[in-house]
Amino acid sequence: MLNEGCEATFLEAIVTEGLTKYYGKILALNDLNLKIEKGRCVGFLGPNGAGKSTTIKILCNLIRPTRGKAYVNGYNTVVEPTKALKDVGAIVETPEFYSYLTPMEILGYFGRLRGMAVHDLKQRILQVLETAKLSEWANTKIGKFSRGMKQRLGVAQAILHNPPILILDEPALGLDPRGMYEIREIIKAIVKEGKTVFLASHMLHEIQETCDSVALLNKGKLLAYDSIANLENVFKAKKIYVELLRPLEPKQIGKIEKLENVRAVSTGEKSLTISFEGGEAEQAELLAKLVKDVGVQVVSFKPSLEVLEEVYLQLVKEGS
Amino acid sequence: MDGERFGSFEQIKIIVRYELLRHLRRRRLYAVLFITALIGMLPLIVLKGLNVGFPEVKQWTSTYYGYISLIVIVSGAFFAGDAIASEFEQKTGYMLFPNPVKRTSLVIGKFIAAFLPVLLAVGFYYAIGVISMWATYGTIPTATATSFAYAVLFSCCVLGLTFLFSAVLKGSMGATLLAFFTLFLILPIIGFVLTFTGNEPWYLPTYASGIITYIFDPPAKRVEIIPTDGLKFYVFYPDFLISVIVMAVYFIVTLLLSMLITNRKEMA
Repeated sequence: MLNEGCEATFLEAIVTEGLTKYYGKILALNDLNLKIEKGRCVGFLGPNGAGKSTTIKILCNLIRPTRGKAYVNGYNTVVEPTKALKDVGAIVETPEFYSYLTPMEILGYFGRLRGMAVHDLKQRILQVLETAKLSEWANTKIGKFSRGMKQRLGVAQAILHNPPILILDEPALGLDPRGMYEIREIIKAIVKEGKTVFLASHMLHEIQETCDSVALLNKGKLLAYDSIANLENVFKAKKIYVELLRPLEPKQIGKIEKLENVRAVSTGEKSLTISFEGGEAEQAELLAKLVKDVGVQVVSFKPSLEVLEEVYLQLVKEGS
Repeated sequence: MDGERFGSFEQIKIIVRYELLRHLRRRRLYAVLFITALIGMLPLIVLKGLNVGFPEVKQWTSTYYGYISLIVIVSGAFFAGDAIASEFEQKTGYMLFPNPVKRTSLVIGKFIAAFLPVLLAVGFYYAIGVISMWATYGTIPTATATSFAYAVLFSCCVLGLTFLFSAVLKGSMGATLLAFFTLFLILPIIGFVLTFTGNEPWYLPTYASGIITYIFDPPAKRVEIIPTDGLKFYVFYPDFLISVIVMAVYFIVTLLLSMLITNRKEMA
């Protein structure tokens, strides 16, 4: 349980305090302080070697920190690992399973290790295999599975015991676009149920679509941790993607670039991405001017998914 | 189920069950039983085939059960070499370790699951021996049960050492080969050199395992010195009590060490 003086409480699903990890002389994680409230979906972003997997491995008691503490559900992951991991579903790195077992067997094994009742377990296994679109291969040996199928099975085992906390390291890695979409939908459904999700990913749009907050990590150091909306405001990085009826003429592009609050414009064949400063009012004004003053025929518009990328690149650049 | 009520003992039972399934699926159990049957039957077939007649019962049992060490070492390396190392080497630990299971429970479960097939192989070999002796001599030496008990203790000792190698090394193959060569070559060579120089290697488990066969015809003296031209040859016979203690200590210490190392080992 929590020690006296510890700042973590049961309100937070995950807490790290001064978490530091050295691999030999290499500093992988540098004094990471993070608090993730229950029911939040937090994206964990960072380039390769940023320390994302190291953090997740410490949270899952796969490695020990050199300094600092990590708490899951109020329990120190080093001192009371079994209690800390009891309510956690996790995917760490590319999932590898015993090749001689079938999904039914491996999920039965892990479910029983977690103390799930046998009669409920079979039903639940069928349910999670259905969710992960693996029902067809329920009794096929895992040795015959592709990387994507193992990834799906990884998701199935993570949600098997219906955990309130999910720690996911690149859950869509190795999946085709449809698979990525399906995994995103599963995560979204989990978030809707009020569960806590800590999602490490390289895929910015995956985090933007799924998470409400994001923690940005670079070279083991936390660069920013805030809601995506706040980060957009702080970095004034609003972007909209506009679908057009006809391609733009060069003079129209010139006019758009000169509009108030516009920072940058990029065009596609029949599309337009505008980076601008401001909030919703400025966005409404900008769209109105596009139609009235520039004469653009707008088919549709939506916030651009490149916003987070801009924030991310800016922060990583500053951090370096 | 409530996590507090669902204890380590239940988890160990589940681990044993799935580890046994692993041994069955990978057909190693059948391979070991085949080797055991071959080693058990071959001396009988040779004696019958050559029609030279069976030697005196004590001599035959000592010779026959002398091969049990080979069976124990081969099957121990087979079932325990990759028990821990494979979780790290094949990265299956990334799925297994984030479960709320103590690593100590995992090691104990895996140990029991490795011990059972070794016990089966040893039991199978003794069964072949007992049946053949009954058929040939019409009697079974009373020491057979004690010999079997010593063989089981030696099995635990071999498994403990192999588990230790499996916990220390990163590769399953390395752990399996190291266990095999340590028990089959390195320790016997050290024992031979020590004996040659007049030092009894009582602390070596391979030397201590000699009691498995000496029990059929216990030697009167613990040491014999055979003088030759300017040289003395020593023949040592292991003490029963000391040998039991040595094997038990190896078993307990190596198993505890493998638990400790597995607990500390990082899945980086």
